[in-house]
Amino acid sequence: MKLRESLFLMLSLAVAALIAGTVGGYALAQAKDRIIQAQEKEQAIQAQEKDRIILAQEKAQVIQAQEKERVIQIKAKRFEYTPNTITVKKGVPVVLEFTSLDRLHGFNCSELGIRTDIPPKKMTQVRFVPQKVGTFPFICDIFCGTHHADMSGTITVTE
Amino acid sequence: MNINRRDFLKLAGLGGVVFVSGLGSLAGPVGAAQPKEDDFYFVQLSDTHWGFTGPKVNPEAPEMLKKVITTVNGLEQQPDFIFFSGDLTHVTDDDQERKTRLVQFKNAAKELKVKDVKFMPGEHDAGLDDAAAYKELFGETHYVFDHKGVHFIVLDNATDPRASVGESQLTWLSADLKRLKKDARIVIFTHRPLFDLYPSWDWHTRDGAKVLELLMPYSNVIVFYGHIHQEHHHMTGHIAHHAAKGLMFPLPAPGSVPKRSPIPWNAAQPYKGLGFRNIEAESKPVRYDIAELGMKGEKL
Ligand SMILES: [Cu+2]
Ligand SMILES: [Fe+2]
Repeated sequence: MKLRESLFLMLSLAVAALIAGTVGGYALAQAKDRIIQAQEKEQAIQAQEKDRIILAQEKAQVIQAQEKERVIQIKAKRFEYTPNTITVKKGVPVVLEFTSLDRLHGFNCSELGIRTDIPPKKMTQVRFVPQKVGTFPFICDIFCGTHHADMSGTITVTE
Repeated sequence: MNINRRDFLKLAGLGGVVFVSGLGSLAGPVGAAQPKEDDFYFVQLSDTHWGFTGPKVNPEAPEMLKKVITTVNGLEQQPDFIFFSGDLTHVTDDDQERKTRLVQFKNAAKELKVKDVKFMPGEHDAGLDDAAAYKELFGETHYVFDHKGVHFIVLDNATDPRASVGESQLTWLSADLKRLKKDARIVIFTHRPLFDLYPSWDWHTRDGAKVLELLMPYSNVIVFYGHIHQEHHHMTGHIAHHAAKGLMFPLPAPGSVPKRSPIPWNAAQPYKGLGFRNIEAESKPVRYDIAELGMKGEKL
């Protein structure tokens, strides 16, 4: 072989190696990027998942809190309660919030042991935990006028 | 004893009115040294609700009071006295109308042959104006009187819209009772029941237990009341409680229906569930014979 030809061959090989090296390196870099991207995506998914779990937990807490105390607003006026049929769940604490739109009334559900004065111009709260299932009548127990006897309703406690 | 009683009453000229043995007859201790007191009888009228209107409940509402008075005036033997145990008038939100009804009632009651007529208010008469109109026309809402050896106590559990007797009246009652022997013959008149008959329908007295506690040491106590518009008999310890029928509309049995609405008029059985009672007070032994009578004075 002549020296010139040998030199050319060597150069060619070097160029080829260089190209191969560059291409290989590029491919490698690309692969690496892909892995990182995948990892990031995974992390993002995990983060979303975590958010979802936290959200669900928070929601559960809210529901728990609701079950902890159910607020029921009751308006009293001559000669009715609104609402006058109330349904609650056994074991779930209840807050009754009374407001009188006119004069003094008296809420009395004696079978559940609930009684309170309802003076006008302020809110009156009564808390209780229903323990027995059934329908229990309530009345106004402060004689308030012509149709006082009609001022009544029921609390139903379900399982 | 019952037979003797009936014979006595027949001789006394009571004719058609047959006395039945009282459901709450009391046989308390009677001191041997106790002087013989006259037996007598009185009439309890309750819940006349003058001024009530409601054709489905009582189409004869405007005539009811006159009818009752005519019937009582027709009793062959007139009672020693007549007692109205509250709700003389039907509730109205109008102060002027309340007074008008009470005046009309008072005037109508003057038509009774018996001139010894006593009254007490129900919540319909006195619950909205702290008994202002009632007191003006009839006087005090709680008082005592004595009749032929029996001590009568009129206790007001209707003027207070919360259905209480109240501390001051309790103090007054306690002082009055202290003067009496433990075996004194005591009759209590109230409007509402003193015990928890059915608090869900306001058929109780909020501090009724305190009244009963004061009465417990006394061996001869009996209570006559109204408010629930039906006959009812109940014992708390040795104390008997007798609710009288109303004279305008009957109410359902405690808790028998969701609402304590008046029982509608039944044309097939007019005046059903309405009436009054004669009470005969006997001293030896101490007992009260109660006769429940209908609107025509017929024995029920
Ligand atoms: Cu009453
Ligand atoms: Fe009444």
